[in-house]
Amino acid sequence: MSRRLTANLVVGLILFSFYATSYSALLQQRSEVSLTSSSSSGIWNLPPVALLALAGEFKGLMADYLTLEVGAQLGTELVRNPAGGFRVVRKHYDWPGIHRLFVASQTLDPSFAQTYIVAQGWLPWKPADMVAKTQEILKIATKNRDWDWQPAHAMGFNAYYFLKQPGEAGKIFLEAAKTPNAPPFLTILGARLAQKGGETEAAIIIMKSMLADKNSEEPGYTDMIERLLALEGVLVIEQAANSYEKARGRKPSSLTELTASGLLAALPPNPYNLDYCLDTAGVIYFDKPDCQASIPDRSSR
Amino acid sequence: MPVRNIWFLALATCTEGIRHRALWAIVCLAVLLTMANLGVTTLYTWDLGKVSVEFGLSSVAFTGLLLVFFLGMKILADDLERSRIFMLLSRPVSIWQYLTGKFLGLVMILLLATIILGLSAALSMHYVLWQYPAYVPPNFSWVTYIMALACQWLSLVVVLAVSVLCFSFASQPFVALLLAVSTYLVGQNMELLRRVVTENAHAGALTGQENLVLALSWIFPNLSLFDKKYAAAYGMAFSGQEFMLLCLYGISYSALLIYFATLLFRRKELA
Amino acid sequence: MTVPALEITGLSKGFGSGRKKNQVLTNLSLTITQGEVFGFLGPNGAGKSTTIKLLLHFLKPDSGSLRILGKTVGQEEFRHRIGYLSEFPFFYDHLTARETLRLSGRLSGMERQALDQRIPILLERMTLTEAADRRVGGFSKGMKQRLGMANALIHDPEVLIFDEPMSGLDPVGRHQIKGLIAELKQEGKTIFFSSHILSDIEALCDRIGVINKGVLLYSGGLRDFLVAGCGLEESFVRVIEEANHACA
Repeated sequence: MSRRLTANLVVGLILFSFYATSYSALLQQRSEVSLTSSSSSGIWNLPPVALLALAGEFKGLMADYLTLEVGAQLGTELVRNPAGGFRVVRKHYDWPGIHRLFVASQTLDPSFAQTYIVAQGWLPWKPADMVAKTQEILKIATKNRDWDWQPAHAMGFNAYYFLKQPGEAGKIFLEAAKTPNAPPFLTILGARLAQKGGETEAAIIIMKSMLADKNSEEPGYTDMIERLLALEGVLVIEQAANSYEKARGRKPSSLTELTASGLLAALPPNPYNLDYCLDTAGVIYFDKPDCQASIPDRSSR
Repeated sequence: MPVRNIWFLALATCTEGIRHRALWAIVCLAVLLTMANLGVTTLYTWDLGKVSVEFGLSSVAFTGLLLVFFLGMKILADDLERSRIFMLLSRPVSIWQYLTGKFLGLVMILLLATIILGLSAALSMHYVLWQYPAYVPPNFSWVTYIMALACQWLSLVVVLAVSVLCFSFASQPFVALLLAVSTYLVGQNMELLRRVVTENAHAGALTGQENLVLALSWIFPNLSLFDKKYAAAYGMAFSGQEFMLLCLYGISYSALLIYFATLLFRRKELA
Repeated sequence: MTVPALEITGLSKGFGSGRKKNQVLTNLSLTITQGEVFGFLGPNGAGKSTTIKLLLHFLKPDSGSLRILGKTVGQEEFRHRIGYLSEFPFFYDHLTARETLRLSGRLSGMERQALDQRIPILLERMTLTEAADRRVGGFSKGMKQRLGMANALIHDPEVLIFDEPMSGLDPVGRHQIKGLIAELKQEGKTIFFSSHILSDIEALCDRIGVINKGVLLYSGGLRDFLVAGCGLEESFVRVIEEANHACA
């Protein structure tokens, strides 16, 4: 082997060793960095204006990238077993950082479905427990996806399940039902929850406005009519019960007492052919056959 | 005669650009990027249609910018640095014919690149939308996509006009490039700047400077108006009237810049 | 009385400003009649190329006037009547020789049919026929120079302005260009060319101009310039040295 070739090889080997040593040391140092720092540094921590300015005409692309970043941060962490294979490590999530990622993605593209769907899948639940912040994300998604009923549906779910506000949930569902191609169940469910949460009058108004735009051949029309009649019946009874309470200083103990008092001539017809129920908590139902005490939640009032 | 000269210069510039290896390297890279669209969309679970459309249009935008800032400015700078311009200006060709011809030639190159990349993106998009019909945005329209592509091209034409203007007065091509890139960044954020100043009471040094920002929005190109990726991605309404107005704005602004470039270039010492 | 081919009056040009101003030309005046071959000599940096660029309006003079065939440079159009060959001809690398000539011809107002006839003749004359459809980027220096010559002649101009036409050519190339200039002279063309290769000047020119540091030292017949008993080179060197001593 010639001298020049040997010299070249030696120099190349030295340079390569230097490169390999420095790079593996760098990788070693990076893997020792704790996970909490991974979401505290990144462009998603920039103020919204700065983020929008940085993205320029590539806002959508950057929003797409940020949702991938969310996925990486929420993903499972696998650690190699010395004996072979992998084991799942209990990951510590930086929820405020992850929330900032969602907000950043939504700032850049408020209409992106992946953002709100993944946010709904993680943030309102424990251990994140960020219901109010999730509602903000869903509100923006609702506003910017006027063809999509699902963000509002998720909002309504959170209002009912986490915030224990059936009335509010009902109103949200009824608003969501106005979205084109929204499934009919939203109206029915929304009406029930609104009434349950003491928003009977609001539910009736919203349903009437929705029915005005529908024709009788549309699917779900009959169901909506029936639910409207049921709510109107409930409203009549509620108004009579309120008058009774004002006059006698207590709620009526039964519907019979109410009709007997003269404040309600007769019970309105129930489109479901069931008896109206006035339970011991004073809540009126159009379809509660056992008619026992409910767990009233008028917290929306 | 002036129109003839402009046409011949434009054709020569376009031919020169098309045969440039750099152009085809950039276009090949971009085609690969748009094909990568197919892989990128599989990383998402929802709104695959929007990801695909946006990725495709962003590839066109990115490639177009590379063409304007590198190939376009190289072609212009080479004319001066390598004294090729003498071959042309020793003929009965005026400065404005020369600049307009070069500009139109580069516009033709951009148009060709946009068509190739737009088709490539459309192919990958079509596949994704066909593969995942449930994720096609409800009002998605190929017409909107084509209009968004046209707006993207117009945006690049405006940036090119800015580059020609910067080239006409800058002492060095690198300075011209920096100025053009800076103008592009300002132009992309013009609407954001306007909103920040008019809607935000705490806009730092720009608080209360609505008139200044308004003046700036007239001087710098409002490139964010041409950004219709969002509309194409979500099938948002995009009226023909708005499209026509954008075309008029883009053409008139570019024509004005080329006019100023001519006035400045006339004062330049060419040797 | 025929209009002079080139008329330069009181031409001055400087670059930069203030203390850093570099005065390249000072009060240059020159007249070239139609049909003559005029050699413009000077050492490197004398101002020859600057004079030519001012003639072609690539630069603007600080003072003075220039007229070509009676047309004032910068105010009236004259470029369809002149052909220019620069010292280092640069072309669009990706156009072929044929396309380059076609572009130049069309820009000079020639019609397609006229070009279709003229291009092959010129390519033949410049021995570029074989390379007609090759891209100019692959041409040698000599080939580019010959293409530049063809480019200058494509529209059959009356006045030809060459800036160091033999620069960088091998002896064969130089011989070819010299032969071409002689032919053009026979055709009655006016040729103004700058050079510092004195043997070429001696062989071709009717009159010469000698410039040094932006000042015209001599303008007139070649024979009248020669110092008694000396060749052109010796006479030239003597004139330049005298001028440099006078400035010192």
